[in-house]
Amino acid sequence: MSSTGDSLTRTPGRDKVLLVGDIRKAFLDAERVERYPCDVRTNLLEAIDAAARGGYDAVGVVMNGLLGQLRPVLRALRKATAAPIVLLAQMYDEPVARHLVQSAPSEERAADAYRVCPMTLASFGSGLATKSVPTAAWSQGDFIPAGIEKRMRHLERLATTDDLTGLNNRRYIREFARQIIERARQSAGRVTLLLFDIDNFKHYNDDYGHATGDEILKQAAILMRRCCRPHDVVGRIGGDEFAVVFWDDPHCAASETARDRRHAEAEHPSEPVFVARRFQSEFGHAELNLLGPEGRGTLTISGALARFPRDGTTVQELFERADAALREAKRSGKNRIYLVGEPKNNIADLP
Amino acid sequence: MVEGGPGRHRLVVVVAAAHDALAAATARLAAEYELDERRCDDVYAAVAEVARRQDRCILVVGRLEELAKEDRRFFAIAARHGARCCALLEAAAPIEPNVVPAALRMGVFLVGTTSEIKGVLDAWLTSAGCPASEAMVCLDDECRASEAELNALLGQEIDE
Repeated sequence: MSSTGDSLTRTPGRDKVLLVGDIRKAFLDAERVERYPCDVRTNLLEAIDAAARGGYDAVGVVMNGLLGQLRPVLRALRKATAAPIVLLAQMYDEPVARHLVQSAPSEERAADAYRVCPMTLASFGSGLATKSVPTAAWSQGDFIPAGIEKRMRHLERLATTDDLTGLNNRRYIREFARQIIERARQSAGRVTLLLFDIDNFKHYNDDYGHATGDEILKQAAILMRRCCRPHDVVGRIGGDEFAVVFWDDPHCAASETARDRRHAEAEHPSEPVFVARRFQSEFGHAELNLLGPEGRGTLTISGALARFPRDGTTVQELFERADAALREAKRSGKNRIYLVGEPKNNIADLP
Repeated sequence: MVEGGPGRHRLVVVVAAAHDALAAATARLAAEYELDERRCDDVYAAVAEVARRQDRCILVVGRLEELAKEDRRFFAIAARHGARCCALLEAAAPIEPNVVPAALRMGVFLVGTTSEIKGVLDAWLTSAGCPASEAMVCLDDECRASEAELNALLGQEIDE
């Protein structure tokens, strides 16, 4: 999938984009790359050299597979070219991409923008139009006008976000879980799914009104987001039911010491258990003025943790196992979180 | 300031962390020879440095395992820009078997200790401009082996 760029149909020096890395991991139509005004470099050093030789309006970097090389490569690309750098991130890379784009003053940023993959080359090219990059030549492919592309991205956000809480919705969570499980399967990674819901939620709706019920859901979302690590993915998957996908972020793991990693492996899923416990505690003590003094401290949750690959090897299996354990937690008296495969093992009782 | 042929000032690029002994040794030598010197943290930064300074006659000094990353493409890129490489090959370095012959074929100077870099600098400085000269191995000041001799020592065939 490498191209020197010489055979591309384009006006030399205009509308050129340098794509770095394995573009098959970023674009649905990667095999059609020669239709577009871009050069592809799969070797990172060749990519930096090409960028330094100039002539590119933008550089797209496929994050998938770079791991420890990402930051040094971005630093070198920044040094090599003044062209804007756009990260091409998988869903699970999005928190890292966002951090790289938002951190530090603009002149020190590792990258200028990011796009979540997979997408089409035309979509990527027309997206660049919003950053003052001339993109007329991208119309050689499946041209999507910039206005429509912007609207599509807005609709995409609406389609994957829960409008009440601002969390990801069920569709996003399931697709994210599918992608991250697929990667974990290839790299022996770890994924843990937490499902939980609010005990007696109907009671709050009926007794305090739906506005109060909505407020409780929003508070739950805020608290869980606060309790999680930045890369964990939180979603509301229906009614008062929430899901969290805990996973090993290789960008964090790369900076861990060997001792940290050994500890993490021995204790897994120590982080999800810790987060779930903390959330349980904070939610129980949440100050919800709408509930009045008598309602304070009455909120509890029931939940379940399912681990890949131990408890299931597909998204469907993990959700089913976690759901069954969640129902068991409800039957057992509520206000508890079970580990799948270890019924009656409330995480509050773990050492 | 030492000239590097017609209109090309010489520049030494060292690829190592700031606190690394290799960086210190190279900086000391560059100062001694009154050469410009730049330090890069890694081979990725070194590519950017070499590519941006095509008007300079460049010698890149770094550990072989760092310079040989990404399928050893750095050696080809350096050669394309007329730069030479000096690679430090330490005894315990995690080097794949075919890396040394490949580096030698690309005209890389190989040294076993930082003290041997001085010999490489002398050889580089006496060359006119930056010719792609014979590969050279400086095991110490007294002992230099050709690629064939080195491969005989390593017991490896060169795969052409």
